Amino acid sequence: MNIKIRGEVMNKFFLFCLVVLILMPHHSAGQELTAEAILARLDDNMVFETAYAEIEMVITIGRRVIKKELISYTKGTENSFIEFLSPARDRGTKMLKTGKVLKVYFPSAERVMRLSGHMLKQSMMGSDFSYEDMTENAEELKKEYQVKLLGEEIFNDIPCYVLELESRDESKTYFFRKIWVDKEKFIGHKVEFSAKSGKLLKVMTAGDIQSFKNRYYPTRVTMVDKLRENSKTEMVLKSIQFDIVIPEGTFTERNLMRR
Amino acid sequence: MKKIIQLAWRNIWRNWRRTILTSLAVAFGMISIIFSYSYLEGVTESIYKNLIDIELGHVKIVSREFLRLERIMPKEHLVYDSKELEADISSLPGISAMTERIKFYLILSSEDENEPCVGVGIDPEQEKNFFDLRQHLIQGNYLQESAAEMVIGDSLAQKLGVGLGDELLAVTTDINYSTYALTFTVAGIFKTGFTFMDKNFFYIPIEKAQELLDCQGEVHEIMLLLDDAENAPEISSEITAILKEKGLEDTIIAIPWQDNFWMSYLPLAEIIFSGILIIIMLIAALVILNTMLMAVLERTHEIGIIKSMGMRNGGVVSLILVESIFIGLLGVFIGGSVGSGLSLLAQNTGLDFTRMMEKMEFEFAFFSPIIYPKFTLGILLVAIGFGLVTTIAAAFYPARKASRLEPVEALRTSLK
Repeated sequence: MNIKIRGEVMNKFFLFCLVVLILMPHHSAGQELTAEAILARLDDNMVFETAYAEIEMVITIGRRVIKKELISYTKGTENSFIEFLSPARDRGTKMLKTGKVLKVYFPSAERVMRLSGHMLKQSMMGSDFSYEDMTENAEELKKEYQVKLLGEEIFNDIPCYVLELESRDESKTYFFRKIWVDKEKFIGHKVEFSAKSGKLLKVMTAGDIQSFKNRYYPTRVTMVDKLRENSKTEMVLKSIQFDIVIPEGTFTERNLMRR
Repeated sequence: MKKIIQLAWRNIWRNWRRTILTSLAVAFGMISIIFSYSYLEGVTESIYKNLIDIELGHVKIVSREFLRLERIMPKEHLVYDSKELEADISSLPGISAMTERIKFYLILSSEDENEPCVGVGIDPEQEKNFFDLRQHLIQGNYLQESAAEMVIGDSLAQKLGVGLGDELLAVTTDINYSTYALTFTVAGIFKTGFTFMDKNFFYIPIEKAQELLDCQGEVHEIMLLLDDAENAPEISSEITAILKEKGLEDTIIAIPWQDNFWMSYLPLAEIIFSGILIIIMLIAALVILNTMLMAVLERTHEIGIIKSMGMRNGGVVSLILVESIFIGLLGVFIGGSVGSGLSLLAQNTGLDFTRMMEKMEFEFAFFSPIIYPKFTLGILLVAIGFGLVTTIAAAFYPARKASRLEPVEALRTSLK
């Protein structure tokens, strides 16, 4: 896979935006770490910068394979802008996240919709990711969850810490999360999302970990929605540029509605 | 015998108070039975009618996969080339109406709210023959052919905070997993009384539904109404033959209403209704029994006099039975007329339970809130038979008992 990277790298993926996608700091694990410390390392590795990415989203349902292309601009964990380029029916659909507000523009209806309530839990563009999944702010994990270290396990031949997170807020969609954290690189390799009842809702796995200098990051993230029959979605990073200057007005509603 | 009859007749009118009270007990039983029976018949009829108009048609044609997964309404399991199929089907005799539908889950969004609901794409013209929304509109108008308009349930409108003329955004995932959205203007608001529809359903022209789902020219359901509902299985076989010719019989199925799984719930309903009717009849019988018993027992003294004047036991029994026949006839006449009158009146105006049903937590699907009792001659005859038989049977035992008393004993008895 060809990944083009420019500039000094302080990385973070917004749009993969799921806790697991971060880069580690320089030292390696030598001491006994508490659950909180592990989570903090996982969380903390978000250094706020800008990024521009080209992504291919591959949805596999049964024997059908549907590919979509999108681009994204990200700034810190607060702002991001996504635009779908293909297929034809999705082309021109855009999403804007500013803080906690997520808005979507539908070219077919020429309308902007602010996502809330039921809509947030809907599948985004037919994938296994929900709109809510896309608005996750990785920084908040340590604030919103209590964490316990369950132990250690080998996952995909990689030694991992296994963390169990329990939400402090009753109403959270993913009340429980179980995260397999790479002991060396502090990346999440697998996350299991469960409801308060214990029912498994989604499973996310990270793969194709690439390194650059001292940074590691996955370039392929797979999400499986357990409530959908036979379905999985992969977000594949085609290219990424960091430290770019994001064009003025990218994170505005006007940009959303641009044709 | 003639003398006994004459005596009986005079006895009745001598104690007209007792006669009237006793016959009223019989009348009460009659009225209860006639009215309940008519009501239950009305309920059964409305369930059938609603099921057929809304869900079953006389024959329904769908894709087998859609049927199998009906609960989740899988959008992609369509009846492809529906126009061609419809053309072939309409050449069959005995079909009085045909329409097509698209059904799917989606989110409707207004300015302030959004709700998941069920969208139904209909052919406004043809749908009138099936489920005529025009009769349930409380505001606004019905759908025009293909305009970007929708008709929604009143509870749904309330939840979304919209009224006539407001705009709603419909967002859905199409059959190819792309996201598509369209705006619609609220043209009309309906209230069917079926909570599940008023809370969750909206109707749009089928072309718009097809545009949303990216399935132009295809539909989820083809519904047929027949000249004679009983012919449904035959017509279904003929349609299956057409499907075979096109090589489609493995993917598409034609279901006559009798075979639809909804019908399997009806015998249960009918058993429950019969049970209710039997209980009502038992109560009515008890009332009559009790009244007749008292009426005869309180005449023990009188019977003593009759016997001491020479009437035989058999005569006493006959006397009492003839009297009870007269009372029975009177009661049946009163009860029959009042009962029939009430039922026919209710049949005309309907019984409106809308208020009561709105408050109910659960609901019986397809159970109309407005019921038109169905009164038939058969019901009247059953009630008359019941009334007469019960009255005479109720009088028999006490009559025999009283007739066997020694006159002296009987004379001593006084129920004052």
